[in-house]
Amino acid sequence: MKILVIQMARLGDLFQTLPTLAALRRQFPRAEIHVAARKKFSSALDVSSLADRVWQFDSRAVLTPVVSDHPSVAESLTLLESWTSELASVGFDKIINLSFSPFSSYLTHVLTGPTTEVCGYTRFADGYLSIPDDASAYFYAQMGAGPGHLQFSENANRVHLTDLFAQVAGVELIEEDWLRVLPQHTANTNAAVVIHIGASTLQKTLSWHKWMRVIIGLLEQTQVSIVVVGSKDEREFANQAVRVSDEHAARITNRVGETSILELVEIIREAQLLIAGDSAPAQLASLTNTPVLNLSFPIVSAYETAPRSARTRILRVTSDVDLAAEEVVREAVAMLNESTSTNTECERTLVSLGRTAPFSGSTATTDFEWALLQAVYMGQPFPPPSSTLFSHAIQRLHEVNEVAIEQLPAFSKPITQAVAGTANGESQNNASQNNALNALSVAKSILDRVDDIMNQVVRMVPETGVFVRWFQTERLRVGPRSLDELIAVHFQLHDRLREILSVYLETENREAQERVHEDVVV
Amino acid sequence: MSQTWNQYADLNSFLNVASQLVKQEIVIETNATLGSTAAPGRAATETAESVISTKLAHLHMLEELIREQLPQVASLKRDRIEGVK
Repeated sequence: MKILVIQMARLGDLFQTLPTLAALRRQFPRAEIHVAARKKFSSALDVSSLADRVWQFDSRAVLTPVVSDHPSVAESLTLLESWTSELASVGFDKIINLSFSPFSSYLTHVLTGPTTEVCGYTRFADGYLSIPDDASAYFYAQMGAGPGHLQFSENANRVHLTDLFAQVAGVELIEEDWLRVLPQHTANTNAAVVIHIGASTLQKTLSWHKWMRVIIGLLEQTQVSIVVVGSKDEREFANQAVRVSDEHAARITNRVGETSILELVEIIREAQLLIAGDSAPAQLASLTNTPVLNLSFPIVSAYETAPRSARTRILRVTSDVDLAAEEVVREAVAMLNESTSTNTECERTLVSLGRTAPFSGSTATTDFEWALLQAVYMGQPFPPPSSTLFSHAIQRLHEVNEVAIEQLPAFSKPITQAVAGTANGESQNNASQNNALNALSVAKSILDRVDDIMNQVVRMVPETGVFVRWFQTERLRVGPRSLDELIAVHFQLHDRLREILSVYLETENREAQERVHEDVVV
Repeated sequence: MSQTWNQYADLNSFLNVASQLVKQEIVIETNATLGSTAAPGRAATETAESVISTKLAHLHMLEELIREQLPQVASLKRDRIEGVK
């Protein structure tokens, strides 16, 4: 069996893919496992031998012809086609696309043979996005860009990316999978504290002067030595942050831009503690089980990407301005002393758990939406309505859903009659054909209006977005079929939406009946 | 495709022009396929559809790659203008 795992995202995503590769190895011990990754980040796969072959995609080489003196799209296409045809010649039995990007969906599509099993984003024959598995559909609807530009008020998802990758691949992660990726952390109280001060964007890290205060604070309050790590691009940023007095200079080592991935693995594995934002070293620490003080910025969701090492703590940062360097130092010292957190927010939202368990903790604003997600996707009971406004919004959604259901029959008869009439050269039925086509046109505009109203309801009551995004995504997944099949599937989807909404309609009706009953009794 | 990059400064117009040119190539290539390379026993239209589908998929891949890698494309362009190798 030949399996291709496509991971075209960045370094951190590749590290988060490794436990899934280990699980695939466990589940398919005789399989040949290939990984396609961008050349710039494929070194992440060097840390383990989980992939039999790595296919590096050199995006720079492919793009170069389009920016040359004589721009040539054709030349870029030739390079692209050459790479995909070599990859396709392997003849994969299973393709697992973990990238969730339009580019990767087309790549998966062109590599798919008649008998290839596909998980993750791909394309239908007509070019539209195809989402064959439920886990990827969950990502699209509730974690990704969202259907129909229906954005989230706040991402309520609490499924970690490592778990989601495994679900897309159809495997379940167990502790053994995590242990298999890399040699594990060994606790050593003389070891250094490692700090990664960079991130893929500046919105995911502190300013250099705040990092400088963190470093000075740690050097003054502890006896630990500090190793600063990062990429070549982060050198200038790091040089500003590591300026310390001569008194402390001997205890700080600046390795930014100087380490290979394999050296970075060793540095993190041996560290007493890693302090980092949402970055590749933090994901690497998950694999070596090194404790992490993770600074979690609003641009990311800790539930999705926080490191999963045991004894990790997350410090939520609303902005660089709001977080005092002293707070980071205090929390780091508490971790080194193995004492409890001094930060109530940290303790409440961050719970250090085993690597196979999801994060717990909560923020009140997303508790209800998370409960809804669990009800729709994971078979959990529906939570009680959060507010009267929510109940009213459900009523509106129910009404427009019923209107949509009424329109669906218009799509079958008129088209059949009109096409049949035209094919038979019947002219006497022109009037009835026109009537049928008019009815069809009206039904189409009503369905468009139904979509608009659903989106408006979500803008006013964001919690209802869980249902609407689910519905719109499932509709997108239907793909090209015969007209009769399309109508039948749309009936089923609207019926399922009706079933979901009815949970709250029954609650509202019951409450209304109880109110009437109370009035009568009074 | 001999125009300079500056004429395609706007990414969208560049992609539109690129799409048109590649689509023209697809038509030419499809005609060639229909005329000469249809496999025996296989419908010519099926072969043509496959060619179109694969060509278009690669074109879309390139479009999406440019969008994804826009900073890198800009960097490549800057390197070329500044003579950086």
